[in-house]
Order: sequence, then C-alpha cells, then structure tokens
Amino acid sequence: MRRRQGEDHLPVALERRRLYILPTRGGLAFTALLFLMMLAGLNYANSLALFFTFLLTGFALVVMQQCHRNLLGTEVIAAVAPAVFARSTGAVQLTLANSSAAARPLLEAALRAGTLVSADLPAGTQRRIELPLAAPARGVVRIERVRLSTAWPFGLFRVWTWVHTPVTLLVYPHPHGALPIPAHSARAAGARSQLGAGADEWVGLRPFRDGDSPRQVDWKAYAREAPLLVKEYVQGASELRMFEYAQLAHLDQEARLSQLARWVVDAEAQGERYGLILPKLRLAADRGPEHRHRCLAALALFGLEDTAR
Amino acid sequence: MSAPDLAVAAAGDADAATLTRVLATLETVILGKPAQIRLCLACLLARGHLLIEDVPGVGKTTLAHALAHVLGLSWQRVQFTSDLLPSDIIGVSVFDRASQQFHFRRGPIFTQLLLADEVNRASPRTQSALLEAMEERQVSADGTTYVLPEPFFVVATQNPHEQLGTFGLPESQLDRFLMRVVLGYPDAAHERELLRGGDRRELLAGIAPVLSTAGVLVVQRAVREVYVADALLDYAQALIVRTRAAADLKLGLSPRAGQGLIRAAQAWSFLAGRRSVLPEDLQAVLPSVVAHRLERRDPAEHAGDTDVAAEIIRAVPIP
Amino acid sequence: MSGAPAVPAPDLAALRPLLWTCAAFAGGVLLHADRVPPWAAAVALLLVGWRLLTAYRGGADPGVAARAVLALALVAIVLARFHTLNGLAAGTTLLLLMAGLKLLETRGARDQVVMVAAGLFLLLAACLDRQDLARAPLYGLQAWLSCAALAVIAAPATSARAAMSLAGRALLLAVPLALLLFVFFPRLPGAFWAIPRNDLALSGLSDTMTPGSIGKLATSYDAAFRVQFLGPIPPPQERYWRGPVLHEFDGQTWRRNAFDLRAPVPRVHVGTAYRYRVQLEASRQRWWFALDTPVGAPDARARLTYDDQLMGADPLNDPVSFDALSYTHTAVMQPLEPAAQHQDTALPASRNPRTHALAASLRERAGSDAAYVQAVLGYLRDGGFVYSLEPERLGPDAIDDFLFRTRVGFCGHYASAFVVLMRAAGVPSRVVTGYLGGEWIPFGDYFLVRQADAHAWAEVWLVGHGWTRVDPTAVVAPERLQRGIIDLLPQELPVRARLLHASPWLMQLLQRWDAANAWWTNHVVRFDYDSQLDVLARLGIRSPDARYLGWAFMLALCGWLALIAWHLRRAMAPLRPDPLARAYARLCRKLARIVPRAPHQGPLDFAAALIARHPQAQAAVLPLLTRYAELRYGPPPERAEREIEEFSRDVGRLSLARTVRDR
Repeated sequence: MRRRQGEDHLPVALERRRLYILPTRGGLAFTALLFLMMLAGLNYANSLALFFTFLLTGFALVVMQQCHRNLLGTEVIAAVAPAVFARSTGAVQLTLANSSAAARPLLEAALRAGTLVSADLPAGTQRRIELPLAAPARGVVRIERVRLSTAWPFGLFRVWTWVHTPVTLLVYPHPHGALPIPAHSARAAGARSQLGAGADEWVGLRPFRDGDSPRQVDWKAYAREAPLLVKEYVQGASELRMFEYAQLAHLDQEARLSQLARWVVDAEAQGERYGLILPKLRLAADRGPEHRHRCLAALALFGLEDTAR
Repeated sequence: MSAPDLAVAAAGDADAATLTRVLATLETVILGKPAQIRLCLACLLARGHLLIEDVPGVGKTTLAHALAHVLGLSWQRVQFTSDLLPSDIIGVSVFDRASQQFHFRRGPIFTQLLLADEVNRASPRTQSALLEAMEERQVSADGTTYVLPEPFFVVATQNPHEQLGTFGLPESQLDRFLMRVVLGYPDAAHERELLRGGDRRELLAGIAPVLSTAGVLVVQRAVREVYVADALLDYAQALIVRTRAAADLKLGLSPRAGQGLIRAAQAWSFLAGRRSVLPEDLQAVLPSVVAHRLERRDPAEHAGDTDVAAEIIRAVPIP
Repeated sequence: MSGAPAVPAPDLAALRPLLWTCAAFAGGVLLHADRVPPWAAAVALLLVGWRLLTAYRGGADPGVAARAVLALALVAIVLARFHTLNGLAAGTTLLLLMAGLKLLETRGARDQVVMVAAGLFLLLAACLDRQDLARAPLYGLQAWLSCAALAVIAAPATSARAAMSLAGRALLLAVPLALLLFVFFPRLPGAFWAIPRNDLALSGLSDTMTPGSIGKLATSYDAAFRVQFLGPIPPPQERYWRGPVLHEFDGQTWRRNAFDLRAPVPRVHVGTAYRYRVQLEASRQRWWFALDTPVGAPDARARLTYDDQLMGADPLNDPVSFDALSYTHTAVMQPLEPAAQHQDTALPASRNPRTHALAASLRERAGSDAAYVQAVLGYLRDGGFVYSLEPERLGPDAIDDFLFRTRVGFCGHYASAFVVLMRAAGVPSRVVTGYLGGEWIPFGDYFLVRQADAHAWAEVWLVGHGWTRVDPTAVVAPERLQRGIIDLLPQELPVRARLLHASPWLMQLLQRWDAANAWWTNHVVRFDYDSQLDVLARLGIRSPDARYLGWAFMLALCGWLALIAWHLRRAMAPLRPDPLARAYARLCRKLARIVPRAPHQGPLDFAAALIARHPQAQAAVLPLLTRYAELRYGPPPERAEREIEEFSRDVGRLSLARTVRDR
C-alpha cells in the first residue's frame, strides 16, 4: 500500500481525511439482509417490512457515523519499542489519548502483519497498548506504520487508518554461552583493594594503618603477640572487566556476540564494572542500565551499522 | 520565566522576608546569577541534594560556601580524588592503643552541609558510599549506625567536560540529587566586577549569617506546608507522563523525581512569597529537576538538556 | 467434536455474546409461536436451551452426523405436515428449525451474527404474516433486541444495559430517516411473485355452515371490518352485511355453489342509496362484505356473483379497503331461471320427514308463497323457540330434532330450519351468512363490525319481488336487530367479554383501541402508491416529477446525516470544563485580542506578558488573573462556589476596549 501522507510527527490527532471506512463481513451480511427485506416489502407492498427495512437502514447509517466518531480525534502520543533480546518477543508501545468527553471503546491497533490488540480508552485518559513484535535475530526490526482501527459499536463497519511513525526495535543478541566471565583483563590487574571480602585472593599481611577495618585485622596473629596486622586481598578483577571480541576467536561471529552479551548481562547483574572491546569500537568500563544498554546495543548492531539505517 | 514581583498578596510574613535577605546576601557574593542562586536555595529548602555542574572557576565552591555561611550551617569540604576511600568520607574505626579498643572517628560527612567537590573523580565505591549516606541520612560503620545531623545537605560539583580518569555518576545515583544547576560564565558587566573585586571568598568572612540551623528547619517545615492543589497535581502528572511517552527520551521521570518536582516547586513558591504552588513554579524548577534525569535517545540531534524541559513544558497545556 | 475434554468452570462473561444471540433468535421464534405448529416452536426453543446448557456445562455438542440426521428428519416432518416447503407457514417453520440447528454449531462471532440475522429474518416473516398494531411494538422490540445482540457480539464486555441503550439510541436516531423513506420511497404497483400464504387460516366466516358454526364466532371480539358511511346511515334493522350465500344442503351442512359463474340478474333498486367505504381485515378468504345488497363490483379486484355476493380475485392476505354503493331493497322482475329454481329447492330426500310434513300442512293452509313465509315465521314466533348460544346437539335428522324437540338455537339453526321449511314447500330459498349490526365508534366516525356480529339469515324467491330477505332470528329474538349479541346473551358469554362489557370505561378504551387500529390499518398498513400521491398532493406537489423528488429526498437524507453527525459530535466534545475553567477560558478569549495566552502559560506568566505589552491594562487584568491563580491553585476558600461566581461575573464585566484605550 502506498503512503498517502507523509511521516507523522507524534503526537498526532487522527483527522477526518485519513480515516477509511468499509463494512465488515457482518456488515455486508446485514446489508444483504436489508436488501432482501426491501425486496419482500416492496413485492408484497408490506408496510411493516418496509418500515423495518428503512429503520435498520437508518440504523446502519447511524452506526457508520458512530464507528467513524469512535476513531476520529484519537490522539497518538507516542510509539516506542524498548530493546529486547533476540528469540524473545518485543513490543511496540503505542500511547493513545482520548481527550473527548465520551469513551472510545474497543480501539484496535495492529502492526503490518501482527495480531490485533484492542483496548478501551475511557474519556479523558491516556493508555499504552503493547503490540507484540517478534524479535528472532539480533539487529533492528523497523516498523514503518501502525494500523489503528475500530469496529465499535456494532461490528457492522470498520474504520481504520495508518499512522506512519517509524519505530525501531533494537534486538540485542541472545545472551548465551557457557564460558566463565574472564577473570580480569590485563589492564585491570594490580588494582587492589583492602575492602573486599569473601572469595577474593589472599595476598599477604601488612602493618595496620589508621582507617583499616577491624574485620580485616588478623586477630589470631595479634593474639600471638604479633603486631597488629591486616590481611590484604586482591579482588579478582571485580573492579574492571573488559570483554574482548578478539578473545573468542574459536567461536563464530554470532556465538561470540551471544557470549559477550551473556557476560554483559551477568556482570551488570553482579554490580560490577565492565567494558567492551570490539574490532572497531571500545566502550570504557562502567556500569548501570545505561551502560549495559550501550554495550548490548553495540553488540546488536555489530556489523550491521551500514545497513541499519 | 517567573514573575516574582507579581507575587500573590498573601506573601510577606517574616520567613519570606528573611529569605529575601538570604537571597540578597548571596547575590552580593555570587554576581549575576540570581536565578541559579534561587534554585540552589530552593533545592536546599526542599530538603534536596544539589549537583552543581560546570567548568572549574565559575564559583561553584564559593556558592556552596556562601550557602552554608548565610544559612548558618556547619560545613565541610571534601575534594574527591581517585584514591579517596569511603572511610575518608564516612569515618574510620581507629584502634586506640591506650585503651586497646576501637573508636569510630567520624568523617567529614558528619556536618550539615557537605561540599563534595568534583564528585566524579572518586572511585565508584566511594561514590556509592556517599550517595547511600545521602539517601538514608545515616551512616553504618562496623555494624553501628550513626545518624547524620539535621539538616543535612550534600552539594556536589562535577566537571562535565573532564572525562579522562573520571567516573560519571550512573543514572540511579544521579536520581538522588534533587536538582542539577549549571552556573555558566558571568555576563560581561559582572565579569568586570569580578576582575576588579578580587577573591569573592574573602567577602564571606565579613558577612553575618542570616539564618540559623533552627531557622532552616522551620523554613523547611513551612515549605512542606505550601498548598498543592489538585489542579496542579494534574499538571505535574501530565508533565511526567509526557516525559515517559516522549519518543525521543530513553527513560521517563521516576516516581521519586515526581515527588522531588513537587517539593522543589513548593520551595520555589515559598521563596516567591506564595502559599500555594502555581504552574509557573513547576515550570521554573522543572529544567533543574529534570535535566540530569532525562537522556535523549539521540544526543547528537539535540543540544543542551534544558531544551528537553522547555520542550516538555511547551508540549503540555496547563489544564 | 465428540469427546470434548472437561471444560473448566464456565465463564459467564464469555457466554454473554452467545446468550444475546440466543435471545435474538428466541425472540424471532416467539413472534411465530402461535402461528407455526406448536411442536416446531417447542423444538426451536429446546435447541436454544440445549445450546445454552452445553455452553454452560461444557458438555459435548452433537456431532456432524447427528445434526445432519436431525436436519433431514425435521425437513421430512415439515414436508409431511405442509406437503410443501414453499409458502409462508412451511417456510417459517423450516427456518425456525434449521436456524435452531445452526445455533448448535455457532462458534465465533461470525456464526453469532448469522443467528442474529436469522432473528431479523424471522421478524421479516412475521411482518409478512401479520401487521397488527398490537404486534408492531413486539416487532420493534425484536429489532431492538437483535441490534443490541450485535453490540454485545462486537464487544462482549458490553453490559446488557449499555447494549440496549446503544442500540436504542442508534434506532431512535434512525427513526426520522425511516419515516422519511417510508413516506417517500417509491412503491411498486404490484407483486413480482407471490408465495402461497392461504395456509394459515384466520377466524371468520367460512364457506360452509353447520347450524352451530356461527355461534363459535360469537365470543370473538376481533374486528371483521369497519365501515364509514359517506352519506345517510341505514337504520339498525337494515344493517345486514352480506357474505357467503349457501345453496347446497346435505342434512347437516350448508355449502356454497362454488362453480357458478353466471352474471347477476338485472334488478330494480328501491329506496335510499347508501355510499360507504369498507375496510376489510385480512381473512385469508375471498369474500368482500358489503351492505345488503351491493350494486355492481366496486373495482377490478372483485366481482359480483349471480347471488349478489362480492368475491375478491385473491384471498384477503392483507387488509383491503373499497368504496361501494348499496340499496337495502331491490326487486327482480324476471322469473327465476330453471337451474336456480332447481338448485334452491333441492333437499336431501330421506331426511327430516316431520319437517316435510309440517311444511306441507302449513303451505296448504297459506294461500301464497308470501303468506306461507308469514305462517312459518308465525310458527317460529309462537312455537316456544328460544334464542341461545348453547343449543343442544342435534341428531341425524337435525331439522326435525330442532323444530320438534330442542327448540333452542342460534341464528344458524333458525336460518337453516326456515330455508328447509321453504324448500320442503317448493319455495326457492337460500341461506345467507354475513354480519348483522356493528358498533358505532365515535372516535373514528365509523362502524366496527366484529366477528361476534356474525349472523345467518334467509332469502326466499317471491314472484314479482325476486329474492327477499327474511330473518327468522328476528321473530324469535327481535332485539337482535337493535343490539349486539353481547347485550342479548350476556350470561352465555365468557367472563372476559362480560367484564369488558360491564365497564363503560373499558368499553370506551376498547373503542379507542379499535380506532387506533383502524387508523393503523388505513394509514400505515395500507400505505401504498396512491397514499404517497395523496401525501405529496397535501404537501402541494401535484404532479410529482421523479427527478425532482429524488433531489428533495437526497437533500432530506443529507440533512438527516448532518443532524446525526452534529449529535454525535456533541457526544464526543472535549470534556466539559468546570465553571472556573470556563470563566478563565472566557477571560483568556477576551484578552486574546491584545495578547493571546500560550497553552502552557500559567496565569501569572500570562499577566507578566500582558503587562509587558500593555502596561495600562495592569489595574484591570492583574487582579483577575491573580484571583484565578488563587481560586485554582490555592487552598479552597470557604465559599468557593460564590467566589467562583463572582469571579465569573467580574470576567463578564471586563471591558477590554475601555481598559486599553482609556489610559
């Protein structure tokens, strides 16, 4: 279908000239019934049959306008698609608003080939509708337009329109891979901390200094009349981890990306700082949801930058 | 943006007059930045922590110092560096060889106004120690909890252009600052006055505090009493929803940010001598409250963050 | 289909569309419940119940094979009962049953829409069957129910109330268009094709008569026809409405001579000419009732038979109205034709010997046929005969039994006995059935003739006079000429009729109801091409030009559509703001002439912008905007409503022209 109007800049209110309306299958059946009733009424000069034919004809015309009204003036506030991992189902989040005094029941939204999602929009409200969108492989899924329609109130007519708002769904690589998180990268080695505890590597003892935690004092040694000593640990690269594409040379490209994604996800979950080194891109170590997104996005678009736009 | 001289007639009780004096005093120290001073003060009165972001040498430290001085608060300054340890801020347990016992030596955080200079230079571990204290207004060390003094403010400064060897605060931690204020260079006239006037910090010594600790607490309570009408909540909600629905923003405002927005607007309204919050008050504080929390999807397309706020304000009609 | 797995607890909300579908279909079935064979209606309703039960319980539906067998069986039964599948009754019955079977396999919304369509189709069939005023509301209800069912099918979450209100509103909005189309949509002069419909008999006179058959009609309050006199009104004793004339008698039953197509005999009309309009109810029979005796056929749809009976070309499936002219007295100068003489003196030979004997003796004593008539009437008058609705059963020699044993009878008995006595004496005579009397309905200026007014009388051939009406009932119960049967025999009528009759108020109500019915039949049911011309003429359009009318119609249609659009737009208007917001909007509108307020501008910012442009407006505008800010965003004042009112008034008083110019 060719685009009748340019790209829509959200928010946009649906106006009259972009709405199309046609009878549904039920509407066609209803029309056929009306035709039959009219033939019978005329043939037998049956006044009541004719009257009910005309009444139901008027009814259908009223319904057509009601249906049209139900979509007319609906505001599309936003259409966004939060990034998801490959092999899962993403969603286009469509925010619709109804600023009129009447409810707009059963609005339907659909992506080009997607299933219909319907929602009621009470008077003066905003609502977000999630349109499922399959994300089979990493990269981007681009949606050019969203179809809004409604057959309310009687299902005899369906009015619809296309909202041309490009939405890009970023699909991260499927996080997968059995390799353990690399212990620590070369540049992070030597970063020391006295605060760590638990499974970190024990390095040795050093004399107590002001500010050392009492927990790290070697009390057993102290009890043996030794000077106050502090146990020192090297934290196993918990400070900085750099994940390198090049390190995974034995895997193919997608498997590498999946493994890197796995590490990014795990490192973030453990609250660690991590960075990413790809052939043409280097992301400095950091943490936080934003950093995670940056890393995963880089993995998602790896090798696709030229074709993505 | 605001219209302070059109203040609603109900203004003019003692607190408001005192605050006017606070503002006037601050303006003699920090030249040519009345709006920023007002925002900073509003932030503190709303019990919020302040992040001042700018290049060095525009008077960030002076401003923090002046705030503490004029409000009559105790204050401490910590210069953050990469080797600063959490214990350097929070305090350490010191082994007293005489008594053979550990004593907790309180760090600089035990003050009413803590100036955390160049907070992005510290290691993340140190940053999180500070930010957790900011949030909870208490400190735990070796199993004991120490409550921080009242009031407790953190004024952190950060140099946006310096990236080398710094750890930018992650979003979750930025959210703990109520406002981010950008000072910017002074205009020509004030620049000249600065050149003539020598070091502003020396001025501070000659200025008497206008408020006291008790006074600040009273004002904070009064700020919380500023009336917020349903109509205003509707407007605030519309603004917040707009940030969440906007296609070009990565994340919308958090509920915490929403609460902060209202608190900041209350303080701003109080500073203007009003007893109820107007949409203008929300609009005045919105850029500072929102700036560090919203991030564009595509930063290259848009300059300056305040534009985001202005765009949001323009997009939401006042109901 | 078979062996459906156990279904979890029924979800009543999910059943809602099915429930409404069933309701719409059942409504259609009920419209025909009293017309189709009772077993058919029962089967259809049982199928509805079964479908609901399986949906509720989650039981297994019958398989395809079972349904096919059931369908074939039902078709066979209908064929056996009606001998055809064509025709309204057979067709309707078949539709009921097949749609009921279809209901068993409704799954999705599409099937349900089909079922609702079946419900509407049954409505159409009901319209074709009967168009009574009393049933019109039922039809309307069925249309409403069906439309509401469509709403629920389209949006299953719709509540019953919401669905009915939605459908009701849309239908009400459609009424103006329906009326417009009804009046102006061109009608066809005749039918393309006809389906046989005379299979559904209605109560009324038939073309046979046994002595007791007319008595059965006496309790029926249904209208037979209505008569409006256009000139003089005949006296009560002349209000005989002529129906089937019966010639052949087998000892029990009188029959018509159906195949005699002779033309009526020329005659002389005597006395007053009565012009009147008759509105016949649908009777499924071909008789047209006219005042005794009509002159010629009123129009091409009927003819006058040789025995002065108006006979329609087609059965009366729909109400008919015609204008006629009658004289209550006529004379024929020619002698009776031999064939007629033979036919109207024939009697079964071996029956009623005592009657024959009585006739012989009476005729012998009477000098002439006319005197013999009087003698027989005298015999009936003085013989202790009783007029009653509940005579005893008569034996094989019915007339003997009646004349000499029971002596209790209704009009049919007397007419029958009288004609037999005449024929036994060789006087040509015949039984005439029809109606006598009629009730004057003041609300419509017409006479209403009910089935209860059915009557039978006799005609004898008197040389020199021709056929002469003789009513033997009149000598037994002379009051019958003046009054209706209900007045005459109240104790023999059912309680309901007596009650109605006892209360003048109810009687009046009944009369009004009949007037409404008459209007309905005249103006709605029989609204046709001629009526359309009539309406147009009244509107001042003498010679309607199709093109001109088409344009007028299109214009009216567009007007209606615009009205609907306007109505709906009002419903979808933005939320109505509160009074304070309205006052503020008004203020902003006023101020917009000097400085328009941006949508995101707060009241004080707006004031600042205004004053910056027009400092002289400060005194007038600033207090208003400040007050608005306080009212809207400040703590609610004690008497908020009052203050808002005052604010609103002050906004009204603000004169911008003065404010800006004067300073």
